[in-house]
Amino acid sequence: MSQYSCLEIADLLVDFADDNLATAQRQAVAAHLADCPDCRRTLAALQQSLSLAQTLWEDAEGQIESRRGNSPVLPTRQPRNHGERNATLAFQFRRRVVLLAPVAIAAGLVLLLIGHRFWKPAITPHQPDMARKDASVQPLQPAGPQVPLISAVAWGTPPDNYEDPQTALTRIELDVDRAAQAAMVLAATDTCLADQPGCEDLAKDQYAFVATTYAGTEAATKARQRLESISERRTLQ
Amino acid sequence: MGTNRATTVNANQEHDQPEPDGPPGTGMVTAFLVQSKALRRIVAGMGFAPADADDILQDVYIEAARAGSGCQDPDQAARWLARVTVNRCLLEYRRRQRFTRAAGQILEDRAAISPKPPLPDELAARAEQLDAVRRAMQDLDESLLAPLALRYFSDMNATEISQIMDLPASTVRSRLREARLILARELADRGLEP
Repeated sequence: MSQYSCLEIADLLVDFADDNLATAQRQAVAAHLADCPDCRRTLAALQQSLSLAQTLWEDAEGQIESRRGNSPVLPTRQPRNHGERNATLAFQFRRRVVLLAPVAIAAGLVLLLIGHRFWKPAITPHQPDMARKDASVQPLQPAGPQVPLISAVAWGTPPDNYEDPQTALTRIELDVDRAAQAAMVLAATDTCLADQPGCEDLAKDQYAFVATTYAGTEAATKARQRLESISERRTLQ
Repeated sequence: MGTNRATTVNANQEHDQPEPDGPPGTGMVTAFLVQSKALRRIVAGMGFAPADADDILQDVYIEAARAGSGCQDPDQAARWLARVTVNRCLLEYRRRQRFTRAAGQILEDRAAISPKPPLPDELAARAEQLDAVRRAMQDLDESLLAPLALRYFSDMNATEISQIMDLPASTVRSRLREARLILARELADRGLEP
C-alpha cells in the first residue's frame, strides 16, 4: 500500500516528472503510481502539456527569428498595419521620444527644404513681380479677369516623382527611423568590438547585417567599409 | 489570482536601473549583443508576437545603453539584462496578445519541415491538444508564466529565476508546480490526455 495519498502525490508529481526527487521519495511516488490510474493520467498530462508548451515556445521563437532574418543583433522595426500601430501608439511614442528627438529635428529641416522647393516656383518663375503684387499690394481685385494669388500655372503639373505631403512625411519618418536604427546597431557593434576584440566574428555578422538590412543608409556604407577592413586584416594575417 | 503576486515584481522598478552598489554598468550594450538570443528566448517564452517582441527588446537595448559602461562580470550583466527583459515582458503582459498563432497553423508548419509528417487524424488530435494548452497559456497569470518559461524554455534553475524575479526560490518552485498542474489539468479535464 502506498504511503502517500493522491493529494500529497499531486505536490510531488511535477518534481517526479522533472526527476527532482530524492531516491526515497521517488520510489514512494513510483509505488503510488503503480496502484493509482488517476495519478498516472495526471503524470502523463503533465508530460504531454509540457511538450505542447515547448511547441508553442519554439514556434514563438521561430516567428521572432524569421522576422529578424536570423540576425544576432537588435530587433528590426518593420512598418506595421494600422491596427498594430494604434494598439501600441503610446508605447511607440515613449520610445520614439527617447530615440528620435534629435532626428525629428533633422526631419523638420528636411521638410522645410522640401517646402521651400515647392513654394519657390509660385512666386518666381514667369511673373515674379506680379505674383508678389497680387498677394500684397492688391487686396481687392479690380473688375476684369481674376488672377489667382497662387495660380495652378505657377505650381505647374506635378513632376513624375511627385509625392503627396503625407506620403512624403511617412516615407521620411521611416527613412529617418531606419537610418537611426542602423546607426545604433553600428555604434553598438563598434562598442562591442572595442570592448572585446575577441568578438570579431560576432562583429562581422553584425556589420553584414547592417550592410544588408539597412542598405542605402550611411551606416550601411560604414558597415561595408568595416567588413572590408576586417577581411583585409585577416588576409594580411 | 496572481495580480498581487505580479506586482511583487513590477512594483520594484529600481530593477530596471543598475543597482547602486556594483551594478552592471560597463559594456551593457556588448552584453546585450552577447545575450541577445537568450533575451529573445525569454520574450518568446512569454508568447509575444514578433512585432511586440521587437518593441520589448528595443526597450531593453535602450536600458542597456543607458546603463553605460562599467560592468566587469558577464554573469551579473546577463542576470541584469534578463531581469530587465522579464520586467518589460510583465509590464506588457496584459496589454499585448500572446500565443496568437493558431494551433493548426503551427502544426502544419512543423509538419512541412518534418522528416516524417504525422497522418491527418494524428495532426487533428494534436492540434486539439495544442489549442487547449495554447489557451491555457494565454490565460495563465504572468506570475506563473514567467517562471514557467524561464525554467522550461530558457533552461534556468529555480535559484536563477529567483534572482531574476526577486522571489524566494521556494516561491518559484511552488509557482512552477502550480503552473504545470494548471496546464496538465487543462488537458485532463478535456479528456485529451494521451
